[in-house]
Amino acid sequence: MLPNTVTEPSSNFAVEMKGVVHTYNKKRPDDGFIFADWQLREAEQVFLYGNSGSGKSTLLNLLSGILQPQVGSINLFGTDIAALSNRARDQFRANNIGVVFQQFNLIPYLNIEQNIKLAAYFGNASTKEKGGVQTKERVETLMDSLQLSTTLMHRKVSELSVGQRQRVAILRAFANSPTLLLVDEPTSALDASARDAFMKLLLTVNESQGSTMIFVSHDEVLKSYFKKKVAMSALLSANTPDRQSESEQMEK
Amino acid sequence: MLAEIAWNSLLNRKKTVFLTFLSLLVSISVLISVEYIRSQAKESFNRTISGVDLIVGAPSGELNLLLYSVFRMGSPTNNIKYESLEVLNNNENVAWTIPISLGDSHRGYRVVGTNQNYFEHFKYGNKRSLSLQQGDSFDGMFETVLGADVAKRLGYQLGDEIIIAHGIGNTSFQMHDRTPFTIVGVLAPTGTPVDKTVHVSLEAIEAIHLSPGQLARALSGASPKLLQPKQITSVLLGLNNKFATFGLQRQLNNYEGDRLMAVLPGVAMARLWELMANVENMLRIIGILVLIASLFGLATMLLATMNERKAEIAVLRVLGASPFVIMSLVLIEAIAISLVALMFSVALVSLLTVTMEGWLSENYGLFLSSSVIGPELLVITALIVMATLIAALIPAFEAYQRALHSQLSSK
Repeated sequence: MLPNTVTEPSSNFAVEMKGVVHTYNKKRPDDGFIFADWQLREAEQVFLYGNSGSGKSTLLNLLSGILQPQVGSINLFGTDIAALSNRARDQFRANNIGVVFQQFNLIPYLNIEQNIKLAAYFGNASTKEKGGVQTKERVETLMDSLQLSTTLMHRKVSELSVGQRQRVAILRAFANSPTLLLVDEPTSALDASARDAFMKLLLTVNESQGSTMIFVSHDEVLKSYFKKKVAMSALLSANTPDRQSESEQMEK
Repeated sequence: MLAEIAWNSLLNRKKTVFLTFLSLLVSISVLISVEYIRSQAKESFNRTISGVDLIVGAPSGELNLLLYSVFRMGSPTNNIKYESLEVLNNNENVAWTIPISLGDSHRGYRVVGTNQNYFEHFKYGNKRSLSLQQGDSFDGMFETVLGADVAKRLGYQLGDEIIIAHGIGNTSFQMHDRTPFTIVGVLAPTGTPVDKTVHVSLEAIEAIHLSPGQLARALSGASPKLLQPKQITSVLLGLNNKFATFGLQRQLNNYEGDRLMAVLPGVAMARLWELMANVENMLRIIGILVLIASLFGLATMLLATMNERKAEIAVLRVLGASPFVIMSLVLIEAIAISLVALMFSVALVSLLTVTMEGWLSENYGLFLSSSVIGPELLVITALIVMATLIAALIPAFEAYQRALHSQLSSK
C-alpha cells in the first residue's frame, strides 16, 4: 500500500492532530509542547500566527514528519505519519508535502530544472509513471502563471534575483502537486509591494492546485490575505509551559 | 540524479575540490608509478634469460657473475681458461655452451665476444630465440652484430664501420682503432640487455688486443695460434638432462684444472630480486602512506563543508531524501574526486612512461613491455575506491547525523 493512499475516505480532514506532545529534551518532558487536538479540512488555507518560540517551527517540523511526536497521532489525509517507518515517512513527505520557505528551499548550485527534477526524483514511482510529460506540462503551466520565462530553466538558483527565487520556490513546491503546502515566513526579505505580489501569486497558484495550505508567520499584516486565521497559542494545550514568560524571567 | 547533484555540488566548490584533486593526483600517480615500475622491473628482469641451466665463471660472487654475464652490469673480476670451455663441451651432460668474453665497449655499449652458439641457443622471455632483423650473424674476423637498441640509438646501418674501445666505460682513452668492425647484422628487439650489446667473435676479441706486429702476423696467417682464444669471461650452459644440474655444479665448483664457479641462474635471480624486494616494498609503503595522507585531506575537505551544507541538507530532507541518501551523496562526491584523480593519474603516468621509456632502458636497463593499464590497475582502482569509502565515512556519517537532526527553520 502506498503511503499517500487515503486509507479512510470517510475522513476528509487534511490534518488531524490528536494528543500530540513533543519535547526536544527527553530528560525534561515538561519542557516541551503539548498540542491541542486540531483538524483542518482539505483545501483549506489557514494563517497561523505567533511569536518566535511559540511552537510554529515545531509544528511545521511535526507536520512534515521531520520531527516525531513522543505521544499522539498526526493524521495527514488519513495517514498517521507518526506511526510510519522513517523511510515511509520520508517517502510520504516527498509525495505529499510541498514547502515554501524563506531559506532552505532551493539548492543554490543546481539550476531550476534540476531543482524541480529533484522533487520528482524523491517522489515515488507512481508519480514518475504518471510521466515526465504530465509533470513537464504542469511545470510549464506553473511557470507561465508565475511569470517565469522557460529560458530561466537552466539558470542556477544562485544567479537569480530575490524575486525570481521566490517564484521558483513556489514553482518547486508545487512541482510534485503536493496535497499539503507548508509555508513559513516567505516574505520577510521582501518589501511591501513585492510581498503583496508574492502573496497574491502564492494564493492564486494554490487555488488552482487545490492544495491545503498552512501559512505560518509572525507578521500579522499578512492576516488579511486569509479567511481562516489561527493564533499559535490556540493550538497549544493549556498545560504547555509558557516559554515566553520563562525567557522573559531569565532576562531579568 | 544523485550523481548529478554530487557533481554540481563539487563544481560549486571548485577551489577546494581542485586542491584536493591535485593532492590525490600526485599521490595516486606515485602509487601507480611505483606499482608499474615494480611489475615492469620484475618482468623485464625475469625475461632476461631463459633456458640456461648453469652459468660458469671465475669464482667471485653468485650475484656478480649473474650481473656481468647476463645483465651486462658490473665488471668481471677474473677470467677462466679457454680449455675449460672445451672441457665443458666434452661433458656428456652438456647440450650446448655459449662462451662470453667481456671487457670492451663501443660508445658505452658493452662488447661481447662469443660464437655462433649465442645466436643459436641464447633464449629470453618465454624461451624465445634471438632473431636478426637485418643482415646475418658474423662470419669473418672483423664483423659485428648489434643489438637493436645500439643500432637504433647510434643510427647505424649495415655496412657501417665501428671502432671498439678497451674497457667498459663510456669514454676510453685506448681505442682499438686499427681494427674497425663492419656491421653485418642487427638483432630484433628483445627488451633485454641483448639489445644494448655489440657482438663479435671470440677470435676478434683476441685480435684487437694484439700488438700491431702480432696482429699483422696473425692476419697474414703466419701465426694463427695468436688468434686462438686463451681466456673467456664466462660460459652459459644448457644441459641434456636437468637432473644433472646439481651434480655438474658441484663437479665444476670442485674442478681442479681451473678455478671455476657454477651458479644456477634461477637461484641467483631470485636472490637478486630479494635484494630489490626491500626497496620495492619501501616504495610501496611510501606510496600507500602518501595516498592515505591525501585521503585524510579529502575527508577533511568534505567535513569542513558540512556547515555550509546545512541548508542544502535541510532542503533535501524536505524533499523526502532519507538521511541515508544524504550520506550516499557525500560518499559519491568522495568517490567522484578519487576516480577523476585516478583517471588523470593513469593518463599522466602513461604519458611519463612513454616519454621516459628510452631513458629508463638506457640508464636502468628497465624495459617497459606493457602499458600502465593492466590487471594491476584494477587492483589499485579497487583499493583506492575502498580506501576512499573508508576515509569518506567520517564526513558521510557527519552528514547523516546532521540530516537526522536537520530541522525546518525560518531562521
